[in-house]
Amino acid sequence: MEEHLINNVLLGLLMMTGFAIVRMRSLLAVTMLTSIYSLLSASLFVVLDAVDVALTEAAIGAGISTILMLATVALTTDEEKAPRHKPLLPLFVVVATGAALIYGTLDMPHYGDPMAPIHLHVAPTYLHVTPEEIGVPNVVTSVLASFRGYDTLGEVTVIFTAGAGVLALLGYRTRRRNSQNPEIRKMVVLRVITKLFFPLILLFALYVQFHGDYGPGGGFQAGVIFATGFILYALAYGLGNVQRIIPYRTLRIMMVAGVLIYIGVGIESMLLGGKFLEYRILADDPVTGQHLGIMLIELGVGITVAAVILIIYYGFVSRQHQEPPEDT
Amino acid sequence: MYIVVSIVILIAIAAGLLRAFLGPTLYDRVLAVNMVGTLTVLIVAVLGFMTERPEFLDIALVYVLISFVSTIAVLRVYAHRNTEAAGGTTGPGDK
Amino acid sequence: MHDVMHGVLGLYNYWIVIILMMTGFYTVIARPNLVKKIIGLFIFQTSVFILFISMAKIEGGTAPIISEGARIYSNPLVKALASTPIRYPTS
Repeated sequence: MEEHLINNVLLGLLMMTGFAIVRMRSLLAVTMLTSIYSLLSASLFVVLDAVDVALTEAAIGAGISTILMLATVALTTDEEKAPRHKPLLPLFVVVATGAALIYGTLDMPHYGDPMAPIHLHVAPTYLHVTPEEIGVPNVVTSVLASFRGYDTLGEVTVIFTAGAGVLALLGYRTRRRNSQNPEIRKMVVLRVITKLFFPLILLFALYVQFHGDYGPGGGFQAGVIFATGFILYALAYGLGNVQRIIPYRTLRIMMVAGVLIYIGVGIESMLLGGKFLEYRILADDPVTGQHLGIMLIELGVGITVAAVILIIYYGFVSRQHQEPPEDT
Repeated sequence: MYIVVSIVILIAIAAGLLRAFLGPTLYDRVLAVNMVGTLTVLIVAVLGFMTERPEFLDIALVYVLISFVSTIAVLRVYAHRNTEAAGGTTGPGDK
Repeated sequence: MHDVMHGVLGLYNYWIVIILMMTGFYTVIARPNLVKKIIGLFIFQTSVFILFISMAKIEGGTAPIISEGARIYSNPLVKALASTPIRYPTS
């Protein structure tokens, strides 16, 4: 009952935030409202028992997507132009689509109904089989990495392709080491806090990476948290210094290496006489094999995600400073 | 007991949202985002204990660690703008 | 009367999701600014996740991480679907 109340209030707040985002013109303000929107939706995901999704949303929404949007806004203008004419046609399209969709929901099973078709098909099997065959408490991880390993391989490839696409579109230029803004040198609090938090964030990323079998987390989330740590460092100490820790060349290798680790696990299991990505062959004991396989592919996912996000960030920020000042 | 706590937190989130909607300056919005971030940490923690799965504090920890990064990014973009404009044109905070 | 209330509460999540979806859709089709369009897509995407996850929730269930004492778990499959996509706002 309490959960219902929190769920309904959070949904109401989300709706209000959504309307405000549409109405506002200042893009900086909109970016910040988007950050709030993502915070609220992450709380909603926790209420709805989707802790892994909440962790993803926490890692991406609160950090990366806001930062990338800000980088975009910094490259373009802050103010959105007023529309030239009344948006009557879009409004009509939207209301009509919405009405049709709402009509469609009338036949749907109610929220929380245990007899809904979605709960009767494969989900009980996953829940039932996971403890014995996979031995991993987090069923989401076992579905993601083992039962549906092919899908996740597809996802990783998509992320890899996105990274390659950004690389092709934005290009890249290495920065000199001391190319940081002199204003930032004066921000002592920021620099000290960053020094304090940077190792903690990296440590926590490793925790999320390797504890993903037992609690919420996994490669995707860990990769994002890892990249966020480096972005924080870049914000406080300048991009040039981060590139001394992780140079651009390393990132390109990492981006490929993650996908290759994933595929390599699949090929290894084929060489041992199983099917592609059949982890139980990997060790003498099937459950140990599953553990090993899941750990390795999660590692691959984490490496690729972290590298791609850092590449996107490098691409945006190195471009930001190339622009001649008279353009803005 | 948890329900009372969560209602109070939700009211506080609503208040923070109101400030983010109304503005009027950039700093109001930055503070509102920060406040909603902190309150989200709290509500996730409370939810973890309410559903008797306190291990979900992990999510709250992620927020604690990285939610301030975006705030820093906002302020850096703003500072960058101001140094470039050299006090000439109107910044986002002047509306 | 009680039935109507029950129906409204049972479908409330879906309705809000549809309103959010349409908010995002409107932003995408009606606003010329590219950043705004991407934010519209972001709202749309989140609303789709909320739709999936609302359908996966079971009354009285808990997150699908096997532990002592918990007996009913919500549907793990859709969570695996929803937790993988990573956004890349490249405009």
